[in-house]
Amino acid sequence: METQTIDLRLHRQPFVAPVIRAAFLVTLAAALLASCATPPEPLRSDAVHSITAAINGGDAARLVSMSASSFAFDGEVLDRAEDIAALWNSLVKAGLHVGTGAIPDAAVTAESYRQFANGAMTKWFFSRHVPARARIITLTTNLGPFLLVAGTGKTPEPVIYGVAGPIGTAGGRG
Amino acid sequence: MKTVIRAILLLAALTAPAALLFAQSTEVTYYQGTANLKDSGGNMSPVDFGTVVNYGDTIITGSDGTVQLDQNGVNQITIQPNSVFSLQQRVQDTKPRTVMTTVLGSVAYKFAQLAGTTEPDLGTMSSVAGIRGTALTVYAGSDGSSLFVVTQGKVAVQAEGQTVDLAVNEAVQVTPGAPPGKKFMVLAGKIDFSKWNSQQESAFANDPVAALAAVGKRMDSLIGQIKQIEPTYLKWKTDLDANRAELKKLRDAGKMAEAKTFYEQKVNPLEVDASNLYLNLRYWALSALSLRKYVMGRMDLSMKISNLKTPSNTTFTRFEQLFSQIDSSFNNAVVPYLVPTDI
Repeated sequence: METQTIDLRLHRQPFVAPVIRAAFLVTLAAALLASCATPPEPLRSDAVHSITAAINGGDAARLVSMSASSFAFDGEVLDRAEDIAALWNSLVKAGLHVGTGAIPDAAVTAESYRQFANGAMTKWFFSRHVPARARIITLTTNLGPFLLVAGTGKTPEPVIYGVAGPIGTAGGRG
Repeated sequence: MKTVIRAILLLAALTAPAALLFAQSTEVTYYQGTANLKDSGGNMSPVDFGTVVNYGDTIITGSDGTVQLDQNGVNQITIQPNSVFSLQQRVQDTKPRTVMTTVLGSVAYKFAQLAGTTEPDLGTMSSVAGIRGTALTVYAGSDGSSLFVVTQGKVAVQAEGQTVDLAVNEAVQVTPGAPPGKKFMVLAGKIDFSKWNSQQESAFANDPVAALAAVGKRMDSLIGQIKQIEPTYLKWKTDLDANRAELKKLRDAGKMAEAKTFYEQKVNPLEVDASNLYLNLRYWALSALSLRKYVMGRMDLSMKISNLKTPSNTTFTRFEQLFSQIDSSFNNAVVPYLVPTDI
């Protein structure tokens, strides 16, 4: 009888211990995930390629379709589709062309709005309309450096939330 | 985040009493093409039949969009393509008033006065008009100018302290920052908004710095309205905070009857007065925001995209310098009375 008792305990241990350990690990992982924000991921290269291909191909309509309905241009917040279309049409008409070099991107931070404009409207735009996982992309173009804030949503199609540039010119308050 | 939530709650608490006083149903009875409603929470959604338009809401129509609103079955408002229209409220002589603002584009109004109701004021980026049993169209140009054309009844157009009275088939143009111009006769249906707006755009293209300076004068005027109210509002708010603290002390001490009397005699009157002033502060701040966003912002967009290859252009540089000055005044005087959802 004594041996049986010992056997039972030995049999129970290998089954129960991994379950408890797994449950503990799952709980720990969930707690860790809940305690910190999802780290921003680099924008997928195909998404960046879609944007640069549309710019270099002069495809303003595609750029408009990629643009969010509330859109930042330097310190302005555009929420009329006609204004967003006018912006892309003009950039394309001016011959905007992205160079072939590397395209650096960086995470959006609480201070990223300052790269566009140092004002309350831009700050509120970023806090309300730009998702935390969006990225700031630096484009080297024939018209000078431009910044894009973009991300990907549920579909592979990128979403452009705003554009600033050319950086460092009279109009570039960014 | 806490500050934002606090600001929104404060806004709701301060504006609720006045809003309840003159709740009036305005809803979409017809629409076609692209038309979106931006609500006071900053959310944008397409309009639909039956969409209710509340105070603080803005309707934005695309180049193919038209929206017809109906108020209590008697007033009709038709928002034409490429327009921005907002429904606001303010307090005048302790009485709440509705203000319908044509920010951009053109809006046709047809009002039939109901017993016991007050007709709304009609605003633009450069003026405000009082009406009486009226049918009229208000045009708002891309440079902030406005044009009032009356087809029925009477309209008093006011800007920068001066008023021009219009009767049937009369019109007046108002340049931002200036009093109304000289009224002139028009034949019904003979005003072509596109042609009129093209003239405003040409004037802007010829001298963008002068056009921006005019808008700057209007911004100064709106900021002046805020500055006029601000000291009284801040004093009343301080008094209100002190009285609320006193009220809390009475309640904490269990002196409920005394607290009730104190609330009725001291706290409540201040709450009403402060909420009315805050409503007006918000009205002027939101008017300034519309001017900043839909007139100045679009001027800036236009200048930047036409100078992409000529960033050192002297006119462009002067424009941007003036723009920064006006923007700085806006940020200092107006932004404190805005909340993130306003953009």
